Amino acid sequence: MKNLVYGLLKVIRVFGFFILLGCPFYVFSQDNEDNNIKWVRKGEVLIRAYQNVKEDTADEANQTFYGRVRVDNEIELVKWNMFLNVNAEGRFKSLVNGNTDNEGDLLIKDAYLDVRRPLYSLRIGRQTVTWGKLDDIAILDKITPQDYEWFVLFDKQDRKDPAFMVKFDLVLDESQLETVFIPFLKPSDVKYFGSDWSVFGHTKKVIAEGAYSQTSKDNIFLVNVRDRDEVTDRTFENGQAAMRFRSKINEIDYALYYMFIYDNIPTLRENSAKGNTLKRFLYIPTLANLNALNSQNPNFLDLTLEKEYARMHVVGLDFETVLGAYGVRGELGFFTDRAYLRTDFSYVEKDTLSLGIGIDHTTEQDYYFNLQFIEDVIFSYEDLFAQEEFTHQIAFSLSKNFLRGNLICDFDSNYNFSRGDWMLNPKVGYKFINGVETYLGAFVFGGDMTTLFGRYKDNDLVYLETIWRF
Amino acid sequence: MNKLIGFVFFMVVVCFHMGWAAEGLTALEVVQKVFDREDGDDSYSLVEMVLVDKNGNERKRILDVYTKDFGEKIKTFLEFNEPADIKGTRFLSWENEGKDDTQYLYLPALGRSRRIVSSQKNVRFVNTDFTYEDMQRRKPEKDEHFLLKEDNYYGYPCYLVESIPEKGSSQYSKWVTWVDKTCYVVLAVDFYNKKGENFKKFKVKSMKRIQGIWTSMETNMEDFKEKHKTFMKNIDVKYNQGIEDEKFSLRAIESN
Repeated sequence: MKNLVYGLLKVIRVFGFFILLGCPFYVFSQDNEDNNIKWVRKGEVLIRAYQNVKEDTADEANQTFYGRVRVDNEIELVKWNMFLNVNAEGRFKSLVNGNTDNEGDLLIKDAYLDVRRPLYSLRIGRQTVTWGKLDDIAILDKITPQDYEWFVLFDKQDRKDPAFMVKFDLVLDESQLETVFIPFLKPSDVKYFGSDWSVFGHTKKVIAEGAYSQTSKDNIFLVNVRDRDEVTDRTFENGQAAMRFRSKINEIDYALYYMFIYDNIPTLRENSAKGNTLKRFLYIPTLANLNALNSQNPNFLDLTLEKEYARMHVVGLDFETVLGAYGVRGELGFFTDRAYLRTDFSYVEKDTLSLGIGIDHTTEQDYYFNLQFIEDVIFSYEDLFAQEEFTHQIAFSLSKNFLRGNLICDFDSNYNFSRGDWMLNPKVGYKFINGVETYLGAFVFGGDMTTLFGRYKDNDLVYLETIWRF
Repeated sequence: MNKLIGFVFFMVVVCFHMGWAAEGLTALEVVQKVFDREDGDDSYSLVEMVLVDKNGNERKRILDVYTKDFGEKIKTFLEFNEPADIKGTRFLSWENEGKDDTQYLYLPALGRSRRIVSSQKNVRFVNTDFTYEDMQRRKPEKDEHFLLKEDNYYGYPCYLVESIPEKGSSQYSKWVTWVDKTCYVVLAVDFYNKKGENFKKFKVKSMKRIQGIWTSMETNMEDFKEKHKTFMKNIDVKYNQGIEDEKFSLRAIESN
């Protein structure tokens, strides 16, 4: 109860910040409505309360409270046909278990200047780019990094973490050429230790506080994952560029892509062969693997893993059309030098082809379904950890609205045929007249612990979400 | 507003069948006049939409609606400004010759436009009492029409036209339209379902002449079965503003 109150006080404090921030903007905008400045504001307050379904370990957060306040400002400088977008966000989280923890952040999300002309537009600043046609699947939507602090508990678009870039769009009659330059690498936010949703969970803490040998404790204490400075340094050598040409042939919308980018989701590279033994233990944390690590007497360098962001050339194609009563869309991407781990956990890069095709339909009874099939093919295949040569996956969504869209029933799911892991996300919600929406939902994960979803199978949860949009 | 009615919230029906003629006009000529009447080269409307459920609960929406003629075709851009939960939702529709419109929906949560199926006639447009079929104009050749009689609609002399769609081309079995005899504005429509029941009615509640163009200022679409109504009120209407072609592009629908 004390934590709940503490969490609520944080919400009030963060919300108060935005009210104070917004007031002068509001006054300014009122004064300048007639002076060629238009200020459009919107925002939302979101609160989620998660309840872990089953306490599997003492370190799991039994209850988690997450809140965020977001204020979006679009300032139109009418005289110059320019737009200034600044979106601020305040977040807090409160984890309740034996070691209760609270955190809060205030951050700027998008902040960019947009110059729009009939034949071109130029956008400079922190921004989000959305490419590709599939829903909640990112084959070609690789430009903007994502925040995986909560794994996939939020949708892809919600996870996106705006990065600084320059985007220039050229209008060519019915077509459009978009070019993006990202001067510095901004990786996706992937946590490796210390939370239920980090890649290696609470492994370090479990070893440190468990009945393990002192050698084990010493070794695991020294384990660290770090960025490679030469990649994350803010130098233009790390710049990324991408372009998309999109047009239409008859009733088919299509786009062609070329990107020279980093894979902003890191893969761990070892400094020595002993580092591979370390990775084996981290990904498969058994006592045997821990003992194997200890037997090698690793030093600090061996216990240091580096986040490698693979430098890739990407060529791709997407399309979208309508066939009868069905919407059909797809993406195809060829990636050079994508990063993987071999079965001995050493780092390796392979060319990869990814394709996805999706179909959606609304039935006579107003049920909406969306089925997407995704296939990954790895070239020059050798045995890899957690990756088959051909990986097949489906994503299926079903929704039905009642009471004119005010009562919402939604079901999302994902199943990987090749690895056997899966995720289910049912939810039901209601939109109240005063702009408040409330949802009750659940996330259920399954599969082997070496798989993407299976790794989080102990984290099944139900949640209550309330959003107030203003 | 003619165009607004024509494209957003109403079917403009055109007859093929040479039925009973009034004052020298055939059914075809009446509805052709509706189809062809002056509605400007482009239009802008700021619209207040109120959805009223069977319990009398009201949900208000504010939207901008732009239309423009591109030769014989019309393109439409629509954006919701209120309430906050659908603010920024945009709809783009391009008429096509001899086939269903090309339609896109932009949802801010998705971050991109999405092609939608315009051939699914009976799907409601954003939970209003208008379906996607109601959002599309119908070509004269598509349906068979009968001029039933001359009538009087709240003091306005009207032609009463019954329209029967080509099989499989509509969610309706027929509709009956009241057309103003002097300005050829559609004043009311009764919609009949496949069972032949009159389940929905569209009514114009007030009209105004703006820039020389007769414009429906307040309308109501009522679904009798669901006891649900969609009221629409034009807060602002402007014609021939020289709206740029760019407004009706994918780039415009996806700009943020």
